[in-house]
Amino acid sequence: MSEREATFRRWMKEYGGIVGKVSRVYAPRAVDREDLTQEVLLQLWRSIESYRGTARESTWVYRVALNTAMTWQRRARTQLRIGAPPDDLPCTRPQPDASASNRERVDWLYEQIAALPKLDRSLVLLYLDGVAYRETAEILGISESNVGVKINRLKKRLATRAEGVDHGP
Amino acid sequence: MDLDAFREAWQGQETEGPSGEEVVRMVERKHRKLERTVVWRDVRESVAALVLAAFFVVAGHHLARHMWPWYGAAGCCLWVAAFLIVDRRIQRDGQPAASTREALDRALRQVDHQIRLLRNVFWWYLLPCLGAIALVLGEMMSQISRESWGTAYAPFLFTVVLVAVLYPAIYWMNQHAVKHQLLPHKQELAEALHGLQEEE
Repeated sequence: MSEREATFRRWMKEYGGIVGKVSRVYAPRAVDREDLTQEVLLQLWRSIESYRGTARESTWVYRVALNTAMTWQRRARTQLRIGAPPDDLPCTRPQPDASASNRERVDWLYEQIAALPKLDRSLVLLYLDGVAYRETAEILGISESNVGVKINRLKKRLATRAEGVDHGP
Repeated sequence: MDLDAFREAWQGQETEGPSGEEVVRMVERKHRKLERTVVWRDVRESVAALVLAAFFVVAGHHLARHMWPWYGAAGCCLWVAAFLIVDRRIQRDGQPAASTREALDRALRQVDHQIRLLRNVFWWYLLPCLGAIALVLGEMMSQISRESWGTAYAPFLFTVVLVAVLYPAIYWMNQHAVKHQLLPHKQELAEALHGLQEEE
């Protein structure tokens, strides 16, 4: 097994979840998701040669996956398919209440994120994953204070949309 | 809203990350295929242009009274191939982008370049090809017409009709791609980049 293949396997084992989440956030429709996932995996494979260890591995994987997703263009065949719903449908699912399962909460979040502009999807994803502001700033190439401002705005937006969701204690 | 509960649920989700032998093999296959495609495309275009140019030169030596139109046609073929290959080399991706901002900026420049290329397809592709066709056809016509006007008009008319149908179609396809694929993509990228910069 080559060194590249070993690194790729390890990354998939440890950070495969990042690829799955980024793909679902940027390609809510299954028909596009497979396409994007393959593109992200290919870019990760190609990026191994350039990885010098200056950034944390997770930061690198986020960066490559998000950069690929942000600049990814859905194939024309899926764009033009008659009757295919657009990505940015507003969320129509009722907001989950306090007794909702985690699965329902996560599905609801995915729907909310899919309705956001592309850049905001990255910010929410990184915030929900618990990535530090400093790391988020490094991944996106903006200042830490800018990250803070944007995330606060997005948190308020999410909270407004979910107004009355949690009736628990 | 208790956002923390949602965040907790998010972090506890079972994410279906791609894994397994099949994924590794698929990525390896795709990577090899991509590299082969890039090399093969350049080789194919260079060889096709060289063969065509050589054909014009050789055919000119054997058939023509004047060589310059045939050299001109050969030059047009070489120009189109050289333009495509040099442009691709210049635009080729190097290292992965250091940040999303850089990736967006780079992607935006690439899309802009692509738009310029397709909008000007007439000047760098269609016109040189038309030049090659006109030079060779004109030279052939000047020879044949002295012997028999009747036979000379058939290939002339055929070429004119072919060009009249093919050229607008090629031009339309390129402009259609600009309008329906590249411009919306450019808009998306520009919006994302603007969103990143607005608080800076």
